[in-house]
Order: sequence, then C-alpha cells, then structure tokens
Amino acid sequence: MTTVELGNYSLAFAMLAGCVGIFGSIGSRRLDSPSLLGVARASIHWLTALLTISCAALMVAILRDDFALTYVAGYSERALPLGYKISAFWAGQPGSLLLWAWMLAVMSSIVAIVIRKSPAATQAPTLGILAAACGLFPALMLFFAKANPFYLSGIVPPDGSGMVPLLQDPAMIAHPPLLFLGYAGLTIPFALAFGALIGGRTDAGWIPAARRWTLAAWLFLTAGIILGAEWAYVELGWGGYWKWDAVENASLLPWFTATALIHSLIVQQRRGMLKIWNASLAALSYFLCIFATFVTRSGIIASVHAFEKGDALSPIGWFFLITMIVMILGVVGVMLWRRRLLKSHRPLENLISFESGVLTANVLLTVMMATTLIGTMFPVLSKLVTGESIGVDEKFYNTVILPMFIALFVLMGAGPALQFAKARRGVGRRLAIPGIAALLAGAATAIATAPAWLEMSGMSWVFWKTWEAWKAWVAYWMPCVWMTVSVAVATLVVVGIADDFLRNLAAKLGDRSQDVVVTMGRVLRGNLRRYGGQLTHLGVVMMLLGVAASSLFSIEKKLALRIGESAELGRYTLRLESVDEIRKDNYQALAARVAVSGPDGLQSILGPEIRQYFKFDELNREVAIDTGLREDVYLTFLGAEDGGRLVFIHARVNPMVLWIWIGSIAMAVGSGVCLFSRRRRAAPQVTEADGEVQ
Amino acid sequence: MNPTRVKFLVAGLILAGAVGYLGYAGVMAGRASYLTVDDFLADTKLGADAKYQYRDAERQATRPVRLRGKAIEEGLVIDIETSTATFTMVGEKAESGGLPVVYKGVLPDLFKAGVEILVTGRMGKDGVFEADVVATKCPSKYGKGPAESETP
Repeated sequence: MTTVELGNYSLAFAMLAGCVGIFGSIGSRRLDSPSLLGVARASIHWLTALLTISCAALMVAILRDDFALTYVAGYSERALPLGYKISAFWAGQPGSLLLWAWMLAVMSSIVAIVIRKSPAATQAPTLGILAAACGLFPALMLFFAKANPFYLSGIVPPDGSGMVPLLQDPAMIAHPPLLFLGYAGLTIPFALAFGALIGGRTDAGWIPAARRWTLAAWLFLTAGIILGAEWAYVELGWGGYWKWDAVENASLLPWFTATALIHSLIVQQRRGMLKIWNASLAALSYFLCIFATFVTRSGIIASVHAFEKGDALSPIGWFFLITMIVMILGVVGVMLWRRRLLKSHRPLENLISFESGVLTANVLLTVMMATTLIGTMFPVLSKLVTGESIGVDEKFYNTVILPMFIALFVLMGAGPALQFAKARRGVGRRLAIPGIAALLAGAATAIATAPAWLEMSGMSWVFWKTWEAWKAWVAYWMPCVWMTVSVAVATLVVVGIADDFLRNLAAKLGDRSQDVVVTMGRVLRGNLRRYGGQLTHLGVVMMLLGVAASSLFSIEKKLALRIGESAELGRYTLRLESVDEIRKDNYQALAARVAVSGPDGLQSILGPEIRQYFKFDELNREVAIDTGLREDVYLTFLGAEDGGRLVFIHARVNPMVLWIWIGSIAMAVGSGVCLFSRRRRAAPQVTEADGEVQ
Repeated sequence: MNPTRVKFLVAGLILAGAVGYLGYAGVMAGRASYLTVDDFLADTKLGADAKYQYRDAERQATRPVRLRGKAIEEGLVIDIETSTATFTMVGEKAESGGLPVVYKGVLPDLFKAGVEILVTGRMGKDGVFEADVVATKCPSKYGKGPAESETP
C-alpha cells in the first residue's frame, strides 16, 4: 500500500468512526445501553488512531520528497531545510486542516478517558458532539479534492515549487499549530457545556474542566495570534504588527468570546449565574473557529489572504456554510429545549459587584467580537443590502474597538476591589489609591506628550473658528489624549493589583513580626489562581502601553545615503558604512551596514538586506531591528542606485514594541499558572455573607 | 421594574448608544467601495452618472475605492529616490482599457506586473488614480499577516 492509499483509507475510516460515534452516542441514550456508550467512546479513540496514521503518511510523503502529491509539490522542495520541511505539513490549506483534525481528535480522546466514569446522560452527548466535530474534517478532506492533502494530479514534477521565502521564519513554523491548538481546544468546552445541558445536568460539576480547557485553548490561541503579529513585524517590513486584515480578524473572533468565557465561568461556578451567557459563549467560541476557517478558505471575502474572486462561494465555502447553519439551529434548539436549566439561581443584586463587572466585560467583549465580525463581513453585507460592495479599513476598527478596550481596562482595574453579591462600602475606598494614582500618571503623561504636539501643530487659538480647523486641532491632540488615557488605565490596573496584594499581605502579617518574604510567598501560593490571573492582566497592560506608544509616537524617514554619509532620525544618527553583495545557497542579497549611534555613542550596527531567492522572482526585503525597552530602530532596505553606491533606506523608530512581546510572555506565564494551579479546597457554596473573589 | 433593573437598562442603553455612534463614525472614517478595475472603468465612462468619478474641486471624489486588478509591465516606472510608482492597472476584460495609477510610497516586495493587487485610493482630477495603499496577495493561500505596502 502506498502512503497515499494509506492516508486516504485512514481518512475514510476516520469519517466512518465519526459516524459510528454519533450513532453510538444517540443509540446509547435511546436504548439506555452502556455498551453503545462504550462504542461511542471507542470510536473517538479510533478517530485519533486513524488520523495519526493519516498525519504520519503525509509527513512521510513530505520527508521523502514525494512530489506526486500536489500538496507536497506545492509547498516543499528538495533543498528545503528539515525544519521548514516539517512545517510544510501545515503551510497549506489541506495539511493545516489535517493537523487541526488530529489535534482535536487527540484532545477528544483525553476527554473521553477523563469523563468515562461520569453519568451516561451527559457523557453520551459530549462524546457525540466530539465525534461529529472530529468526523467533519475527514469528510471535508474526502469530499473536496482541494482540501485533500493526498490529492494526486497525475503530474510528478522533478522538484517542488518550494516554500515562499516570507514563510521561512521560525515564528511561522509555530504560528499555525498554536492557532489550531486553540481552535481545537475551544471545541472541548462547547462539548462539555452542551453535553451537560442535553444530559439535563443541573450541578456545576462540568465547569472546572471546561474552564481549564478554555484557559488552555485561550493560551494557545493568544500565543498563536501574537506570534503571527511578531512575524508580520520582523518579516514584512512595513513597520507594524497588526492591520485588521480578514485573516487576522478571523483568529481574533473566537479570542474575544473565549476571553469572556474564562471570566464568566467563574461566576457560574461560584454564584450559579450567567448560565445563558456561558452556554452561548462556549457555542460561539467553537462556532467562530469554524467561521474563521470559512472566511479564510471559502474566498467569500477578497482580502490580502483570501484573494479568490470575492463574490462566488466555492464548494468548500458551501460545505462550511451549511455546517454552520446546522450548528446554529442545533445550538439554539438545545438552548430553547433546556431553557429551564439555564435559569439563573439568583438575580443580579447590585450594579457594583464582581458579577456585574464580569457581565459588563461579557457585553463589551461580545460587542467587540460583533464589531470585528461586521467589519470583516462588511463587503458581503453591504452587497446584500445595497448591491454595492463597501469595505472598511483599520480606521473603522480603531474608532470602534479601541474605546471599548479602554473600558475593559477600567473594569480590569476595578476587578480586585469588586466582590461577589453586594456593593460594600469599601469599594470606593479600595479604589481610591489606584484611582488617584491613575489620575496623577495621566496628568504627567498629558504634560509630557502635549508640548511636542503643541509645537508641531503651530496653531493658535484663533483657528478654532472653523470646523475644519477644529477637526485638525483635535487630530493633533489625539496622540496625547490616547496616550494619557492609556497610561491612566494602565496605572489603575497595576496599582490596583499591587494594592490588593499588599492588603492581603498586611492581613496575613497581622501585628506579629513575621518574615515578609516568606509571608509573601505564602500569600501568592495561597491563591495562585488569583495572582496568575493578575499576572495575565499585567501582561495585557504592558501590551496596551506598547501598542499605544508604538502606534502614536513612531517616527519614520526615507533616507538616501552614500557610503560614509549620515542622517539624523530622532535622537539617532545613522551612518552608512558599506554595501556588500552576499551569496548563499538559495539566495543572493545586497546588504547595507548601517551604524546606529545614539546619545551615548555607537549603539549597534544593523544590516538590512534585499534578497533575491533563486526559486522566486520577487525581491525579499529582510528588515534589521535594533530592539530595546525604550524603542526599536527599524530599517528596511528599499533599493540602490548608481551601482549600489546610493542606497535608499526606510528608517523608523518604533517606541516600546518590545513591551508587546514581553507582555505576551507575562500573559502566557500568568494563564499557565492559572491552568496548573489546583484550588486549595473544594469550592464552597458561596453564601450571601461570603463575598471575597477567589 | 425594580431599581436595579432600571439601572442596568440605562447602562445598557448608554452602551448601545455609544457603540452605535462609534460604529457610524468608524464606517464613515474607514469605508471604501470594493470594485474590480473593469467595473470602475465602466463606471467612469458613464460621465455625469458616474458614482466614483471626480466631482468637484473641493472633494476629489465621492468616496475612496479599493480596486482589484493587475499592473502591466508597460508604463511601470518606479522612482526609488522620490519613492513614487506609476503604473497602469488592468482588469480581466481587454475592452476596459487601462487605469493610470500613481502611488507615493514603496511598493510591497511581491509587487510585479501580472500579479493581482489591491489598490485603495481616489480618482484624481487629471484622470490618474491616486493610490494611498497598494497591497499584493499574501504569499500563500494559508498564512497570516498582510503583505501590505508601506503607506507614505
């Protein structure tokens, strides 16, 4: 049997296993048969085994340079280094679908093992949902040649066409698998929540597991999104990291709902509230992962990525569309059928409480998701309504979503002071210190950023008279206003967290003289989940500052330099030392050597390049970055004239970009701590008197 | 209705109003009509009825447009020194003719004649399309991050 046959047969049997799982699950409930439940469980493991065989077959084909497979010929080549050959597995659509399917199957198997002893009433529907979700992928790959990694076109080229140079980057190896881990992981909370719902379960027993899976999936999704942004920054050379492109948005959609779900599940676990929210958020998170694929694969939106015609739906698009419609109907049907189980245990008692804080965050995150969704679908929606296709660019997202982000930060800052159930008098007092700190930091930022802009605008008060001048004046002040607001909310969060920690420390220390460091450790260990969450919030704050500073205060200049000449950029002097021709195995390049001197003398030597890969006609510009906590010096080699003696360089100074990457590491560590920490004691049923958030 | 509900209702209405306003402002700030070069050229030939054509001296065009098409080799001039590119964009139909485009900025790495591009901008008075953004197709059908050009 050839690898291709092996791959295809195992896909076919995997689809069959999916069907068996679905029928086993339904049958075990109808006939009340434990053995059918065993069949459903076994079918999940069969799916995993069969998809593992498929993956192995594809990997062998790639490593063996089996260019008979269209997929291998399209994304690999003989000369490709081993690491990139492995990543060719997920460089294209069919392979990435197979990877996603396999990851989902492995996770489903873990779930099937963990829940094997739970009551059949909830176990059966969970297994059924997982079997259906896994089985969807082999079906897709078998029905559509375009989605099948084992497709043979009948032509065997002598060598593959290779991987596009832009994708030959370490971040690009890890980015897709991380996203797919996130997408696959978000299937599990959905299966658990709806398993419990269909099974008629009334207790909160499924929540800890669902929360953990959501957290893990969120961690992977976040890491994947940020690695993609990092790749765009270091590889694409336009100096930015996020552009609100359709594909970027697609991965952000489930992120919004998963973020909401993580917080909202706490409220259901502790207070028996927000049940409709949680069921909807779990379903939406899963749904949006499928939708993300729909957007990027169907060609329904002409974006930089999905460049297909932009109006006609491909067969795969129809497949996804029908799947999504069936899913929505199913989810809504189940929620209506079991609406009595989704009733809240108690009403929302007060506007100032942890529950209402989370509820507000849920609303904000959902609206942000909806905004991103509407913005992404705008060309399609406007065509349906007006017959004319109108799209929106990043200005739309920045205008609508950034204020909501700021509102989220205010909630984040209030978080540690809020308590369950009731507004205690203490809330105002507890927020006093962070609030005052925020105001002071905001005022300092306003003073620090304002004069520069006043100088640059060169406008006097007289110009206020016309509307246009007023608008220009507002635009000039925008960076100062945004930075002030960002620093203020960042301070609110940071001081709020510090204040909360010190209060807990002081309470533990009491008046006895104990060792402060030991007690600190005890306070942290005593509630790892709380402090893990707060570390994640600190990471988000760092990111906010990085994004605000780099998007508001970056400076750029196009330089034309001859060897030995210098140019000024901000507080730096850039001097062109030399221009060299480089020849490597798979490309040749022109490399500039630029000495970057700051106020303290020579800081670094940067070498931006223009590469010509032999397999590709297009030029590839390799940016050079001198990164630092304060700012990055970012050089793009534009071109050369006069036999390489006159060099054109696009030079930028991007403030605080490093904070974004450091913040993302803090987020990963923080959520990792939450993920692996166990609760000290079983969750107590919260009484009215017990308010402290754990 | 109890007072808490009223408070939540008011908070919800304020939020809805704010989001609605932001949404409207956002669409007004960031909208562009998506067209193929063929449709755009056909429209500009309509004269007074043309939707996207230059109208008056104050406003260059009714609204910005994003065109999908290809650049052709003929007339492609890239001046690195002033970072200005001029090229002719064509659609799929030969009878549409070409649209002259001027772009102040650096073309993306993957830009070349014959490759599908997205060009956002407005029609200038002189019949030359003034591009604000030129984007090429992302290198792979799968793959994240736009291969966007640098905007000046």
